[in-house]
Amino acid sequence: MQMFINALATAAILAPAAVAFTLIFTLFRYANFAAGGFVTVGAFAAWTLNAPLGLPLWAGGVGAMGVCAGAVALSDRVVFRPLRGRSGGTLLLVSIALSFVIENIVRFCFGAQVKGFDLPLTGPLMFAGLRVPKETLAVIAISLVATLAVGALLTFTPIGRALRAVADNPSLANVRGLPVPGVEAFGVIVAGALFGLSGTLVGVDLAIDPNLNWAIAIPVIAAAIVGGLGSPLGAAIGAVVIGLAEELTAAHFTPTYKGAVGFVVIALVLLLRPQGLLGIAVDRK
Amino acid sequence: MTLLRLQNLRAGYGGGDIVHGVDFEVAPGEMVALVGPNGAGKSTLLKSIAGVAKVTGGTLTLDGRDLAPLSPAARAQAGAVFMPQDRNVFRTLLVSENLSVSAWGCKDIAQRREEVTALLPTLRPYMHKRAGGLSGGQRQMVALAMALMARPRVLLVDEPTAGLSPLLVGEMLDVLRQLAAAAALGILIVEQNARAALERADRALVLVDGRVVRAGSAAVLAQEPDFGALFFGEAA
Repeated sequence: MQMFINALATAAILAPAAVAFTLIFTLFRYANFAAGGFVTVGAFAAWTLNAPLGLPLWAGGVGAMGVCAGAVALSDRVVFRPLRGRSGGTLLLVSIALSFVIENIVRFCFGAQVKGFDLPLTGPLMFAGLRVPKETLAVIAISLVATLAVGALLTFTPIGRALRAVADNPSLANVRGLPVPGVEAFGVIVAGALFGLSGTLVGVDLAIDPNLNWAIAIPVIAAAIVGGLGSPLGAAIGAVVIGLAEELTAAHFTPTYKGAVGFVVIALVLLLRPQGLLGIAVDRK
Repeated sequence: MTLLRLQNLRAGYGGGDIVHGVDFEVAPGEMVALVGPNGAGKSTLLKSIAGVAKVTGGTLTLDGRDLAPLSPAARAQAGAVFMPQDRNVFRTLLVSENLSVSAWGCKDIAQRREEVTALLPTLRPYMHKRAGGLSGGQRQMVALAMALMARPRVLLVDEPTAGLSPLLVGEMLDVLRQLAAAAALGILIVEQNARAALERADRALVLVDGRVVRAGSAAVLAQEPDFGALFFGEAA
């Protein structure tokens, strides 16, 4: 049971970023490997607002979502939009390069020291023999609410339906009168805010590490692939699968191999069910 | 009264003109068929009106308004609504969602959906199904309903019967014919089944090599002895 709670905490950190990753993939058909870089930016933005500037953590988190939304929108404008129409492989390589650029900018600005939020010390909640830190509960609750909110946005609101329509068929959306560039920009901003939220949650549950980039990018991408690229709900479920797999690995083997779990799960999914848990199989053209 | 007017319209995709100086008009409630051999420029002409292909010269007006500077989305909102031949529904969305997004920015979406389902009642049973799971004929009906959600003044229909069974071909063309009359809608249709289109259209234009080589009453044109030759491109 304790392991399951730990897995949920890991899933809670991964889920918003995995949903963001799949949102960008669905809209633009490329895997943005700079996901880890954006989560790192979110973590340090929240830390800057919370620790040095003394704002409450919730304000730091909201600020981090704004900073990340701006960073992702800027990267889309400067890096990815000029390359629209190029192959997914080209954009993937560009995103890897971007992630290194972001990682080094973060190190340049914040140094190599691990940081922590300015939070009051609180004891864990004890029930049924389980120790659950209050921060972990908060991380799980916030992530769940955010993921459900994005799901509701995509399903029940006109802009959410428009976003899914543009992701499905942008040229048809154009002739149906949808403002395609505006809808795409909205999707980019939502994805950026979700990266910022993941960054804040990482800082609450773990630590704010300048080397976070690839340590978070691989499980985030694995969660999106396991869930089925293009399915936000699948990405959230994928995050739970990855969280469980990481905890099982740490419990039954050694925590050293935790970082390899994402690769193994990606390989298994590609072998057994390439479309992921909730993805739709498509013919290769 | 003229709804859509093309004067000396030239259009293409950037590598030279495909449509060379076409003139015609479409009136409200009128169904005009564009026929001609493959590669004649029929679909390009439709796409140039919709803004998908580039207008390189001439004038293009809807209700007197110049459409040429407008984006495809703005042309749809102005009333020139295009129904593409294929990939014409959002496959991952429900049919009801397909209709809703097609009236983007409108306050009266529920009312429009009611109007459209009243015009096309066969849609009702599958409103809550995913569009990608429908048959070809059902998908074409959804595509037509999506186009109608924008309350078009003129409907630009590109081969709506492609891939449909002979029974459904007639049904789809009959629906279009009825719509033109019921909604005072101008319809410009490119149809591979030229005979079936001419049976329903008011007027027809025969396009060969991007030029109108014959125009007039659809019924009269269908009776011309050299119609087959024109359609198959031997008279160019």
